[in-house]
Amino acid sequence: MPKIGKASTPKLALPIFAPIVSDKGGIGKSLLAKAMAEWLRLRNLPCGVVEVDTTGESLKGLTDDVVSIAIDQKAARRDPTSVWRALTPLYLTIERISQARGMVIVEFGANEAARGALWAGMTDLQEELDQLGTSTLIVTPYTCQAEAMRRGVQSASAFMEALPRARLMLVENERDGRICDLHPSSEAAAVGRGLIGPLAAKAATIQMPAIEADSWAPFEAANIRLMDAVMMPVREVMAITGLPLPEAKIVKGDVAAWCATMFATFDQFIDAEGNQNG
Amino acid sequence: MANPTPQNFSGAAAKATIEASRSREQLGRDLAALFMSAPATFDPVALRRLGQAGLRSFAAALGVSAPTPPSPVAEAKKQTVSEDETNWKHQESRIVQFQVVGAFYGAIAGLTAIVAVSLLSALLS
Repeated sequence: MPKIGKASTPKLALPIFAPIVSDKGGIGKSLLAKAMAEWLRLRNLPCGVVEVDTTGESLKGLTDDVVSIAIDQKAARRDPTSVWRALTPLYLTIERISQARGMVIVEFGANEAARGALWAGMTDLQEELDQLGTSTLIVTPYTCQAEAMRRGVQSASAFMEALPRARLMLVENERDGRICDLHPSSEAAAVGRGLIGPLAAKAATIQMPAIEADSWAPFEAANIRLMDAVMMPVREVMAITGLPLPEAKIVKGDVAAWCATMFATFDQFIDAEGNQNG
Repeated sequence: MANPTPQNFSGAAAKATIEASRSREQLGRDLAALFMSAPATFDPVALRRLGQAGLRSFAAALGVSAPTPPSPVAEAKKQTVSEDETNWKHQESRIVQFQVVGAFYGAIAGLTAIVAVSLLSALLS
């Protein structure tokens, strides 16, 4: 069961704006976005997904409502205001989903988080969110690598500065191991103590377990959604993944166990049916 | 695929998790039998999906005692480390200043030379 940093903090009510931020790539931002979107789908709640990334469209097909924004780097160098124009669909999605009392999940790809924080500050997004009655949950995943922690803290701090009334959720991705298992004199452990520790005091920290034996990979390759993988008959899993019966059961079970853990964590943080903000 | 209800999903997830655990143990035993029958042609890539439970079952079927995961108490004890364990200082050898070492060895060499000269002169006289 995941540990929650601040158990006494009340649950966050909908509508919610949830930017997933870290300038480091490959630390589980997309998987986390998928898990959050699936949690909303399970509860039949409105969900908007925005992907701000120049390197790919990893969330396309996740819901019917995915907005992909790719910022043109050359155009941004020539005309910095083009970035703000490019991010306008993000604001429109926040407005639309907030009115529907749902959740907007925004994945800022690697190296886009700093730009996103700047945009949020420049457009005075906090004031707009206050007017819409929308809460903000900044979600920052990191692995036990020093660089992942450093860049995660940088991105989270930038967003916290731009959105001062936001709540922060630190997500420790246990894919490469746990921070508490690091040797105390290693660089990563020192970064964990020096950077993550002070930030965690102001945030809620959750653990994102590793999906055992890389069991998500065959579903991901087939562009299957998390919940569909769990609900799918084993015969269908075999047909889609090409795995024999015992392995098909294993991959399905691993994804199911992971989803159940993550959904239980979100249940502790987000009020899916209770009071609304505002 | 239609959206399941939270209850349907919980049931399906619990059932899939139990089935996965059973399949892992069974697969571990099957692979162990395969390994014992033809070790030369056994492909270790097949062990990839086993995970912890499956590998334990594989090892047990081979008659090898698999290491058990550390208990929470032992883990907590491991986390409480002393200051000495967090750095290399205790392993550092003490280096004496070269002037001190030089004077010491110089004095010994001088004394040895005096003794040797005295002995030679005594022998030759």
